[in-house]
Amino acid sequence: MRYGMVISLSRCIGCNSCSIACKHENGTGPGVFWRRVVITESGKYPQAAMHALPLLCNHCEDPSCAKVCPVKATQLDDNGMVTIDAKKCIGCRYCMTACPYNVRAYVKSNDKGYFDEGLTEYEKAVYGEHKVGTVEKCTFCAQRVEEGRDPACVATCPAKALFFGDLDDPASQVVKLLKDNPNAKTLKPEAGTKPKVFYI
Amino acid sequence: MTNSASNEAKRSTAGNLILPVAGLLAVIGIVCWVLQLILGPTVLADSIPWGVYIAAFFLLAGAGSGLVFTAAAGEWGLLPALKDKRRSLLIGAAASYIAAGFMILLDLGQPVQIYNFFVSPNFTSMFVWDFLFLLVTVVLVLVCFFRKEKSKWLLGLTAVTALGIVLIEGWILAVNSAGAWNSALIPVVFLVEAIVVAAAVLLVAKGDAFEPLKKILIGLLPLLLIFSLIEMFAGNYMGASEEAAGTKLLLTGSLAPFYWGWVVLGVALPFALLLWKGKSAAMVKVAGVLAVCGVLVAKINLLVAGQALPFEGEQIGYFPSIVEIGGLLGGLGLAVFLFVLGKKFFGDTPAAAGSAQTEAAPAKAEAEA
Repeated sequence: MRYGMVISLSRCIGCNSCSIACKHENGTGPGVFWRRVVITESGKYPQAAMHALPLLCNHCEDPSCAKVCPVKATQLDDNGMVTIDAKKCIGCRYCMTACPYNVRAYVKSNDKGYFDEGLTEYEKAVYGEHKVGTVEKCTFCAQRVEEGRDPACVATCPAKALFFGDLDDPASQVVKLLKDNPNAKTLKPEAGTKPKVFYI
Repeated sequence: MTNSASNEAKRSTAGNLILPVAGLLAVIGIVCWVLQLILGPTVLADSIPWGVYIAAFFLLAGAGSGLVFTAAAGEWGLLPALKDKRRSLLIGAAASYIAAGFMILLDLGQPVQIYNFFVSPNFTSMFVWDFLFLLVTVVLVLVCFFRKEKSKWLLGLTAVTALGIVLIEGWILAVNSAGAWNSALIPVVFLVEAIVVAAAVLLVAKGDAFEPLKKILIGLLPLLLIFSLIEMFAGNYMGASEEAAGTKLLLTGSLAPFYWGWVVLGVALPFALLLWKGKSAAMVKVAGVLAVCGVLVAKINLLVAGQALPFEGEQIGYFPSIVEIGGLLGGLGLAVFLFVLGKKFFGDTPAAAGSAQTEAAPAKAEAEA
């Protein structure tokens, strides 16, 4: 089993619903984004265009973050997900410098919320799960996947631009999409990390 | 009072001040660390993962290795002027390595989980090898220092492991795919910088007493600039976007004041001061201080240039926070404090020198044999 994701760039409208859904599901604090959407512009009027590029952990086959982690806090699991064990992480941030996609986040605090009035009840409930001084990233919402549900970003995307599934299962939607789109791309293939997030 | 007596008195007063000032800086560094432990990493600059702490770690570990090289060079007859300074050089190396370890403690987000280095080491990580080489080198430095019989072979082995530290630390960056870091030249640059820092520190300590060290600095300072130009040329010749962006950042971007500051104050000025025929001992010391500061700035430039251009994102700026600056001063102060303290108790005292001379006899006979 190798979990992976396919992102349809032609469907993505750059609304950042996935980013918000991720924050809501995983309770990440201010300044910590496990996924984000980068908006870029190209061309000149009247041929100008905007492009949306959703970015998240690529759960690589050969993850450079796991290779450089000095204490084996970052691991490639049997199901193809790259995970971080907060109990092992020493917060050296070597993984952040090694990740070619800049999708890891350093937890600087878990007692500062989004509002001046202090932490909301929701923030109080969820921020404690994030260990200060450690590095975090997208988990493919492992807690949802274990229950047979899609990651929050996939379930939330209003344009149905995100697809999640087992890359080893020929019947899965992600495999079918990759078959139908032989020009599917990964980010920075020259980094040699073999990402499992594909863009079509 | 004659002029020489007056100068001697001034030097003595300055010497007496070094220990308390360095101690105060070390205390400031420890206070900054405690602040970080209490308040969390929020007190650090909110931009790039590796900043001034890692630069200072590289600087101090390089200084330690450079001092081991000079001690070995003295012992093996390559720098005969340093043969009698073996003990001081080894104290300096140990002090630098310990201060480098302090900088890493400052940098870690979860220092209490550092035991995982022992229970769950990942041998594909350059950090683990760096840690092992540092540990082995510190032990060897202490063995060389406290061993009754001097052995140039043991010191030679220590120099080899010290070389390993410098090269591995270069590889920590060089094996990374970031544009400004992905270069096989970085370990070589780190090696040259280690020697420059050691030579500069010794000149600061002894003024113009060590002529060969001045020649080493005169030869190596321009080499660092040449390395920088080689990197820029190689990276930009084919118009590779990441390298070009990194070069632009250094030459005209947010890092330009630091890059040009390094070129002028960290390379050109100390080089000119050392070449100047009418130079005084004070000028030599100023050149040494500038060279050390220059290497620190060069390391910060290299670190930031490799992180300031993240994949698909806006260029990031970096300036250390007050706590980081306090931590940096603390690390540098700790190195000086430990060195002065170590020298006071174990240094090249007349007794130690005498004992060194008696110890040198069997070593000489061994060498001749």
